[in-house]
Amino acid sequence: MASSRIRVVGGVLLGLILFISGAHLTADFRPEDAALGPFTFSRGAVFDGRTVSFQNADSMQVARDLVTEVRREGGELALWLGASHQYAINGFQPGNENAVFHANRLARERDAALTYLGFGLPNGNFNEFLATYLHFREAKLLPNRLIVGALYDDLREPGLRPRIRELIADVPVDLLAGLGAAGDHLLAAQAEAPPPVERNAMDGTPQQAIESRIVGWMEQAWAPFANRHRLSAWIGWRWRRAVFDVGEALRQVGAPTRQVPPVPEAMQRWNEAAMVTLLQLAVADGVEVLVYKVPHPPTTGPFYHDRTRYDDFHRRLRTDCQQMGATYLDLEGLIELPYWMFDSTIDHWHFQEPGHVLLAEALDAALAGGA
Amino acid sequence: MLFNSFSYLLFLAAGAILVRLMPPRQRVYLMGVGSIAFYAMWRWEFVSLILLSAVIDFIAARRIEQSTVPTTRRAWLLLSLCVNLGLLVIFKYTYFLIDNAGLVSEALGLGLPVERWSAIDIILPLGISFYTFQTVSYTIDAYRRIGRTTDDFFVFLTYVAFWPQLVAGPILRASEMIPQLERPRLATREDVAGGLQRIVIGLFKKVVIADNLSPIVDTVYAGNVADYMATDVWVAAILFGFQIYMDFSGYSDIAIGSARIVGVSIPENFDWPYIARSPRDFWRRWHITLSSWIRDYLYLPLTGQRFQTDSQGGLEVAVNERQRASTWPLFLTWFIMGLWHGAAWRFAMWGVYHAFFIYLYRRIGLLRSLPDRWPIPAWGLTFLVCMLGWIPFRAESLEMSVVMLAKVFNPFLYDISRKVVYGPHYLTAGVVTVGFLLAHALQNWQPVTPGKVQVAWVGRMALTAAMTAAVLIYLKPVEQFIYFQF
Repeated sequence: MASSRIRVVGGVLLGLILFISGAHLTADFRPEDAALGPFTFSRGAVFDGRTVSFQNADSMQVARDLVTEVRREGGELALWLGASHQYAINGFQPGNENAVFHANRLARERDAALTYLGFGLPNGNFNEFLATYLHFREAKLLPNRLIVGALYDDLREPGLRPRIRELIADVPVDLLAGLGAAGDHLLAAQAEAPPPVERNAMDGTPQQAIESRIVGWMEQAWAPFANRHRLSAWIGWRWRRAVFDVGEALRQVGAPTRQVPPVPEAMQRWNEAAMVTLLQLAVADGVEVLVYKVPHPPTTGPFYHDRTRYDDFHRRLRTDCQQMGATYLDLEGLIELPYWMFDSTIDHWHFQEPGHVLLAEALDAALAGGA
Repeated sequence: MLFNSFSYLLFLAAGAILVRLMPPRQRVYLMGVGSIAFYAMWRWEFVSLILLSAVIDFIAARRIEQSTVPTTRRAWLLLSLCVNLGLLVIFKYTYFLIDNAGLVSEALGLGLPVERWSAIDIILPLGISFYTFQTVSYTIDAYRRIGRTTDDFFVFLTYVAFWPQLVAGPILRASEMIPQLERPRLATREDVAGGLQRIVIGLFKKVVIADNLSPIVDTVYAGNVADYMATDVWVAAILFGFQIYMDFSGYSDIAIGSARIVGVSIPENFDWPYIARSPRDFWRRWHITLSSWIRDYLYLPLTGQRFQTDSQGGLEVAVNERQRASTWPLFLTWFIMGLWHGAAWRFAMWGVYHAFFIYLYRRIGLLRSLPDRWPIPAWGLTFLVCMLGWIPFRAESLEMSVVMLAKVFNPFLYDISRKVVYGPHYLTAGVVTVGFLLAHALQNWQPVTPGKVQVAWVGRMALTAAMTAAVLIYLKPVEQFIYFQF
């Protein structure tokens, strides 16, 4: 009997120690970086004391303020829309900077009065890029140049994430209605009601008030408790990685080559309509548009998607750009193999800092050449 | 008040200390006041409903016990049943009745003002389905002359409103509780340790397992089920089956542990239901106090058989020679039990589904003998039957339930390469199933050699440590217990 009491009390105390240790060990864990692989880190960029690289629609006011400031200075602004390849640095070393930083550096080196504003969305799709452009347009903050990083992945990520949906809340309905199919999709997203809040039995009750106070006090007074969200994020990440790795191993047993998930036709049309509309709108607004094909790692191994379909899509996109007066830049093969780092089954899309430099050089050269 | 919160743990700690400091007589008063305060932390205005039920049933049971006139006894019993069941119907089934009245009105062209009726705003009081059954069983037992009633209203009120089980069971019997409340004892050190262990286990099941399964289950059931493969449906069934089991049994564990810490023993409510080898065995292990209640107050009276008087055993005591005569009571009982779980036809469907399989096992000799002759296939079949039964329970509608269940019987839909549900969810379903079986094996492992005893001791302590750490990481009162909606 005494031994069972000791076992229970000892177990609880040991659990407390485990919790404190775990919270301490994960105090610096960044879930947003973990999703990209153990050596890939998402990084913003500050150039000349100004934030020039934004992720996931955070700090929109700062972004808008940057545009206003550049205009006031009489400079030009290049709004660069892209997915995580724009800001995620593989094999990160302290001091590394992302492509947006390097693009700004290159523009400064050639004395160009050009500021690159990088707006990266994790797995961003073309509808989200269109929504972002409309946001700046509605705020009367049109850029001089628009750069769009076009990826096949964009065609498979559905919907507008809530933060991007908020960006078009003030865009007039008749403007969206005049944008054809893409506008219809955005109208539907604009009208989409937020999901109903699941009423919890504790909502609005005396217990909720007491619980909030207790938790608030514990978070202030006890550092491990304040850090438990990082610990739970770390556990979730490790679990997802384990599940993913086991799934991959099982897939290898059954089918050695990765099976490419299909892209639903409706989603393809949905995304391509948004891309074409974005090009048409920006060109009609007098914005110089540059669309680039995001490079793949130069490997022939099994990959994330069907390369044939990806290349077909980009052939159509090149034709659309030519017809609409936008510049299309094929950057396939730009970044050599050493600048990619396949540390995980997740990270096939992000290059190391030299790759970011190469990307920035290619884009800045294209813009400098009067693209 | 939600159990999965720091405020509850503080409430319990404070209550346990105060109970120890009180003289015996005052302990039950403290527990009664504490229970009412516990309920008031949700909505103080609904305390009046519990008090109303308690007052009426206390008086009714006393009058029934004291009277020898059959009509008087019956009248008091009817009053108790009408008030309690009437309140339950009003608060729980009004919208259901209105919706169905609307369907009938539309079909027959009656022109009932259904829309006006639907505008009534009714909040379902937490725990009404549970405490109603407790108060009703008290007066029925008095009528049946089982045990004796208490002459102390506060003892009775504490029995009705005892906070560990007030909002989601276990459903208590007066004969088990009232003697404990009339002569309250102090919790021993073993009680405190054992109760603490139980609470840790319960919180782990709820906040670590059930709450982490919840978003996966929500995603799976929110998908376009018309496109699902049969394998997707099975994954959906298993994931929810474990979510609801962890959620509900976790709640019961916390309830049992909390009661033990204050020196009160309340009955078990779950006994590893997913190792059952037949549907009847399942109902001996799942929500035991409910199925036992249904057995004693609905099923056995309908079959004309002698009722039982304890909160354990589930449906075990159906007598063989009366099985043919008990078929319609079986289906009626399960139909009602299904509706008790929720005011929607899909819950009734769930109930009838279980009744059907119990009936099949009665009628088909091969199935009846399966558990003894081939235990593992018997387990496998029961596991699949019970898991599939959760589809109508969780699906958004009756139509969705039918669509999903139909896929299971289509052999051409067993093509995992065309699965729609996200692949890792399949793995999660497998992991929780294997984890459950391992946990059961560990629970039953009783080593005898000194070396293995030590290993078991250390291992159990390590498990307690891991569960405690996990609870501290994940404890947040965001997800309410599933059975709160009943």
